[in-house]
Amino acid sequence: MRITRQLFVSRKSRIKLLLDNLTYKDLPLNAPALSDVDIVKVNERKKHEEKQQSLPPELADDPRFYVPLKHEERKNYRQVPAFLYNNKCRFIEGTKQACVLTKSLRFDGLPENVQQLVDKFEVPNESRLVQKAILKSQLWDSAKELLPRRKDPEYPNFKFNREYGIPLEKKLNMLSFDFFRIAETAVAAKYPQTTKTRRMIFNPSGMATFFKYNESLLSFYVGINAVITSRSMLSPFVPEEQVESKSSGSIPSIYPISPTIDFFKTHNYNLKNSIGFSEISSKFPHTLILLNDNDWSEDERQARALVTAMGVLLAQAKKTFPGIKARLPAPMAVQVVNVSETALNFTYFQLNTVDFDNTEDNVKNFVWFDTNNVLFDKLMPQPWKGDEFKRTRIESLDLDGFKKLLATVGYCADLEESLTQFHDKLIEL
Amino acid sequence: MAASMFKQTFCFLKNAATSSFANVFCSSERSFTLYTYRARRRFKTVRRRYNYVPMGRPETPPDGKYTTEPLRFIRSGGRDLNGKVVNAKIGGGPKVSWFMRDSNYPEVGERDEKVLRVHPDPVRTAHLALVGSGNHKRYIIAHQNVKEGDVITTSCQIPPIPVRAVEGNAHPLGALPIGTIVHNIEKIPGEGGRICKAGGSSALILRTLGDKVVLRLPSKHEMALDPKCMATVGQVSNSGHDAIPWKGVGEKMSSGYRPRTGWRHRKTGYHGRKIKPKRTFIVKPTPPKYETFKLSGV
Repeated sequence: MRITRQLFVSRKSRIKLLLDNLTYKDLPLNAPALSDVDIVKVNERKKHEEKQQSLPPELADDPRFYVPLKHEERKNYRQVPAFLYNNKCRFIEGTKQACVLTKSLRFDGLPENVQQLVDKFEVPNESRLVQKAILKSQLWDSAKELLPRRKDPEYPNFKFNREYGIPLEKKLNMLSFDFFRIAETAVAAKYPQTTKTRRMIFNPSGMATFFKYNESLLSFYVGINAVITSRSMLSPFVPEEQVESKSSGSIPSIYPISPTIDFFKTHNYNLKNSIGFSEISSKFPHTLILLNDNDWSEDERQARALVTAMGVLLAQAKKTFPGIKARLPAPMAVQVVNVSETALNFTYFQLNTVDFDNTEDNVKNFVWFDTNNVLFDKLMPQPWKGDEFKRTRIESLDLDGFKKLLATVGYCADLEESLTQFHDKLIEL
Repeated sequence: MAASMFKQTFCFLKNAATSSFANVFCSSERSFTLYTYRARRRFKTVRRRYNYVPMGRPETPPDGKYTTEPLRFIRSGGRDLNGKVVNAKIGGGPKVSWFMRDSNYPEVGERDEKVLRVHPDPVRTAHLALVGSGNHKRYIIAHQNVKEGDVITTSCQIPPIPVRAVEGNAHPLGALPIGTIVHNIEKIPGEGGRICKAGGSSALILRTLGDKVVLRLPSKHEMALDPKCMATVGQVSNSGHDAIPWKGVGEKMSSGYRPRTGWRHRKTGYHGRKIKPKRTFIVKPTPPKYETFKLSGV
């Protein structure tokens, strides 16, 4: 039967009667308070209760239920925390942060002593040898390994085919050590006694220092690819009399940040002070060689070079002048060469003080930066542009960086020769 | 027909009348239903705007501590917890990494922080800003006009005169003047930011009402909050992300959507796998208690 309005209306009054007899109108609004429920005011949100710990597994060594050890249970636990530095610490502010850490004034370009030696070392067939070294590393090597996937920022969705070729580490090794071999022969042609005094060490190990900075312990574990050592110390770029007059500039501040922001904070560490190559006759570092097997910017790579140079010199200063806390009686210096795929970077560091906390001191350390000496342009393929851009292209050779490298390798070579002649004469007597 | 309808209503009301309503709506009896999955959800692919957010879950670090390193984000693929396809229109898309974002406010008096990096977030609509102070780095929500090198302050004090609002700074609501635009607001003081975290959103402080501060939310609702709750001044970044439309099917497919089956393969109740919801068991309310009277032998 169809529900019509008449029927509905006729029953409405009956339903009303029934509803009036009920008391459900009152119940939901004025429900009696239950005894089990407590009224809670919303001042805090209820925190989730921690889950009950599950039962231990049947096997004690089950790797599925592995729980890592706490800090106190691991080895080398100390109560005082320390900040560790590594090769993989990437400074977020770059050279500015490193200059504040090492309390060093920044100069751009080469120091004067090195600038005078730029065109003094001759290499026959210079451009041909340099081109050979470049092509050996980029093209002629027969290594075939899976290279990482490539992404071009101009066309992000383009999918390149997977390629087999020479890995970056091998390219840098070949390029750098070909260059250094050419440089050393050129220096030896002019000063033949350097072949006796100098050595080249690959992957020296065990270089570490530690010191206090603003009431916090820092420990450095420095990693270097190769080093050229000599029998006598490097002569400083700025002699001792002119140190105070030249350190009149001010160091910039990075106020809310401390320079140890990128260091790794731990309670488990070992403090060590050692130089890795102290058991041979030529034990003073001349140049450090770093290979940039990463995708950092040039600024970050130079910051790493500065900090490694500082670590190496600190370890040496603690051994030659034990118990020192402020200015050194004789300044120490070191050179660093940063090799990346197409460019060379140079840093020259001079240590005058060990007191890194006082920024308003009379004496500061010095740093010279020379970045991005591009040797050649390498243009990777971009096939969506046309046939001309299908293959890699190596163009526009520039030899300025190589000449600067000759000057750095040849610095203080004449001093070593005179010292050896003096040494040989003593033996004859 | 009317009688049957009348009967149904009468029966319900009869049961309701005799049994107390407390029994029917008591939570202790309904709690049995919560363990089972009752509702039959209708999955609709919402027509998301451009710069969408991928569907999936993040992988938290094993320590549980805060890190600035990128972590893994696992796409769902339209799969449920049981591993079965629940939505066939989701699938594919590039691999994406996830950053932990800190929306809590520190409980110190005053702190200065410096903006180090700004970059878009692949998992959220708002941009990320790397911020550092002392020896600690963290990611926060980036506001509209943020640049590298800015200095941001957070303070927990409520002075008698309201503070001049500078974009990016964080203050409690009682310290800000009326008419300021605000985001990342706390509901309960000390809890962490909850409101207005998406790209382009912002709230407005309208007036004070006794002990509380009244805000207008982006849904045009008004909310009264404790004046001790913290908030940051400004509008969230990436405001125009709603307006950019999709370019075509290829862009959608490469981002993580799959096509809908057309009219030739239209599914009716006759075709395909029989997907039905799981049956639940409902605990019936207790039967009504009848009062018993015993007649005495008088």
